[in-house]
Amino acid sequence: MDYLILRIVSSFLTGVLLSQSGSLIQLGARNILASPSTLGFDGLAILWLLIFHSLALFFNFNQSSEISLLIGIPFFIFLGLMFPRFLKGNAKFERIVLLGLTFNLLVGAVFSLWQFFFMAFNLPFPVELWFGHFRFASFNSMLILIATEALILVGMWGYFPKLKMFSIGPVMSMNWGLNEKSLFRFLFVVVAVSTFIVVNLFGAFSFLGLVLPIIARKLWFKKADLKGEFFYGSFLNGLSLMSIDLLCYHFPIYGAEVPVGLIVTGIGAVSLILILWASYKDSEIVANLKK
Amino acid sequence: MYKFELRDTFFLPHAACEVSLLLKDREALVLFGENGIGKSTLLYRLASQLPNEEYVIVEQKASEYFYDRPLSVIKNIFLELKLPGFNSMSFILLWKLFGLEEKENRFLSYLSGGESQALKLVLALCKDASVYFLDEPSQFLDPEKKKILYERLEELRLKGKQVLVVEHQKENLPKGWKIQELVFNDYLLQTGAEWTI
Repeated sequence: MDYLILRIVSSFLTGVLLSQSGSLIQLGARNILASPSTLGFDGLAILWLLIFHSLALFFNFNQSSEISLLIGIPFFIFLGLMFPRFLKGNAKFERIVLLGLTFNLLVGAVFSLWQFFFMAFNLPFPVELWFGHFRFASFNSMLILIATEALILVGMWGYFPKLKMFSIGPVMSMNWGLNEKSLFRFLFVVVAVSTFIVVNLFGAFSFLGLVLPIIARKLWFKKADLKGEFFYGSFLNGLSLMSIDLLCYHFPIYGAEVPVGLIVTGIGAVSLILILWASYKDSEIVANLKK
Repeated sequence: MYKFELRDTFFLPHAACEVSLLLKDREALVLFGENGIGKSTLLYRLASQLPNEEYVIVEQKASEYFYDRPLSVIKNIFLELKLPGFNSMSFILLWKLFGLEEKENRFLSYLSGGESQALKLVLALCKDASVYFLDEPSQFLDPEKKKILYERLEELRLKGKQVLVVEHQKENLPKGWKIQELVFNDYLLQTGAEWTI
């Protein structure tokens, strides 16, 4: 298959997956600070890959990416199943986010230190892991992403009524007998596995899982509610990531391609600042009118 | 008839609890007591003794709505999902009675305290439950809505449901309702005087 098609499909599906997993985790936590990156899923996936890369070098085998994916998926499913335990009782979500961010900082420090040692010993280091890119998009990676998205869509089809109910408020779950346990398991398994797959295939996309759902919510949510955020919004976020990746592909700088993760994080951050600023100004106007 | 019993040495950080309440059929019980005595905690603990399908609870604190959406979206979600125990006739009637129909385009963040309280009540009272636990249900409501609320609760009681309410004011409470006082006795939360309105 044409490399460009593989790349287009991969970048589009990555955008969709990051947007959907961000939306799911923010809904589950009822907190816009929640995301695969702020909760440490990104960091753990990078750490996992660093360990695998080092082991592959040590034992001199070439298929490290496929093996890490095969062993990693069950581990991240397990992690997703166990994660809701952190949310039990009176655990303050801000504290969990703070723990996730601290863990990410730790992974960042470990990454730099690891890079330093690799360079000192003149060993190849996967620098591109830190900022996502689609240079190595392949038929296999496209198939993995399609299968993941298909499974998420099937799960969403089953869980969507529950998600709608859960989105109304915490007491609703209690009053209407919603099984939060199974819903949380679904949410966190989707987030953990899709984050791991994206990081494993194309590297970390930093805070994209945090930014994309908020953009989807602010731009589309009010018109079509949850469907707007989970489907139309994530579709548009996928298209945006795909378009930016195509620009990076067609316009290299001095022959080198700029990592799309870097560019898209910058664009996403600026868009989010503008959206939040605009909504802040709106609320200020309404507040003044009320007076 | 429901018999609730709660004996707990660690009921609150500063108290133990020894409460026994009998809620007969067609009976509404109002819990009275000082601030901070543990009425709301008691209500939640009593509700947790029942299976989920038998009760409905209206919490005292404001609902945490993560998504800011218009009221019409919430109405549609309820009407579409048709949850077990959901009474659509009662839902539509309450929606009208509490004046939410004219405010369907309004976003949750722009609801007043009374409107939020009305929404909370409508979303809970549309369930066909056996016992209704309500923690200060009339807070923030205007006198007219308070009247509607207690008329509706009285209707439920007459239909054979049980109602357990935490309140501070005796006004608006329908005649025939029982009041149960809760008191502290040597750091022990106990039932005190009991009378009928």
